[in-house]
Amino acid sequence: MREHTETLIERLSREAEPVKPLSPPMLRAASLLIPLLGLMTAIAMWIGQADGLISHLHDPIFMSATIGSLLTGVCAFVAALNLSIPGRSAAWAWLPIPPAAVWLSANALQCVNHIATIGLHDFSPFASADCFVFIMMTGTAIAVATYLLVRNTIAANTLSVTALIGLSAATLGMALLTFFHPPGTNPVDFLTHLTATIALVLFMVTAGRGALEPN
Amino acid sequence: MVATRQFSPAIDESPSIMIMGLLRRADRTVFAAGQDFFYWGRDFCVRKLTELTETQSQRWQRLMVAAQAAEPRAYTLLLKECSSFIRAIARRYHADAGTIEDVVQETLISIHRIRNTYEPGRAVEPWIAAIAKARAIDALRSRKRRQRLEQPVEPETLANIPAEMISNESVMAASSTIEVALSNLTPSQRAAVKMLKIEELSLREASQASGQSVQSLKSALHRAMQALRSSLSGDRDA
Repeated sequence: MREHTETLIERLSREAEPVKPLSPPMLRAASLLIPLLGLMTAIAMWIGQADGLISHLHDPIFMSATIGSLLTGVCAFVAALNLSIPGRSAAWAWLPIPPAAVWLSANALQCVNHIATIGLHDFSPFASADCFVFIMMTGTAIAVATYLLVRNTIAANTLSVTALIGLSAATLGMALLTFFHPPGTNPVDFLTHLTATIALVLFMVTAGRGALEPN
Repeated sequence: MVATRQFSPAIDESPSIMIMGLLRRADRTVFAAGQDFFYWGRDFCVRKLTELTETQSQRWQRLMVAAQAAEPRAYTLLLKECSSFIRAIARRYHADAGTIEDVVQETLISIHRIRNTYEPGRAVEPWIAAIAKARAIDALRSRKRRQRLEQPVEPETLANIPAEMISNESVMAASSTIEVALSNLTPSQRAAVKMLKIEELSLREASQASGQSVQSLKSALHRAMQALRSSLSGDRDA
């Protein structure tokens, strides 16, 4: 105990300045996600290989994997912004689970199809190193930008918020990767994507929470 | 040349017209004052009735909105009233009275820092409870960290310490050595050591108390600890 609680209350009341209440989380999520998705689309159209994606628009499994990854990113982002406000229901953390289930099962199906048609050739663990680097680079940029935007509002749920920011950044990075990647996923790709996602989540949980510690 | 007549209302108006004008103006002023008084009275009654009939939740919502607008009286009232609510939450996690009060103070500081995240119209209690719970868990974590760093001293170890080492003279000598080492520090380094190492304030609190940035406090403490280390090891070598 450093000073009497009454003294602290008087000091805080004296120092208080008018503050503008934060906009509702959904509005903030929309105002951040729309420019981000716009930027991602611009990058994909400008330097990506949209032809590969367009030629696979009729493939339901491929499209489920792509849309699932994009929706996981969006839902995790919305959930992170909601949970960063104290007192919001912990159930928000479940929001990215359904699209994540679609993304994971569609990728697993793609892997099964790949093994069934081509077999397990080129099973080198570093065959998809480029994918890992791409997801980590784009994901880290998105995660750091999101973290900086919500850093001053996180006072509770730090673990869930930082983990959700990591998940959102990794899956959005993965959705962008679709434009730079040959269509379809093989087991090595899938494992690499999962490793990158886990790495980003762990990075955000450790670095993000560490930065929030008062000491 | 056409003669023009200068029109002057003050000269031309007859006294009766002037008096009527003044009366009309006075009437308007009295009417406006009466109207103001009526509205003030109505607002006062509505406010008092609201205060008497509202629930604690509604009262805290009203005080929180006023606190966001930096009304010091409302803010003080809110913080005082919610202190006991926070204390009750802290008691679920801690038994020590000092730690409970620390949690209350940390929660009040967090409320102050992020009061813009409260959304008017929503209940205040879950918002405060979430912050209080997070601060109580933080205190548990830091206690566990401290316990990991501190080694328990066995009674035999204490019994084996020679009597001259814990005599008054040796304690006095050690404290004077530390005092000399501290006096060699710059005022900002001394203040950093006092706040962060002796009073055990967090960096954020020390920064608020001293008005220095967290980064400058960190570097002042780092330099102070280096200076103390070299000064004390020099004494020991001598």
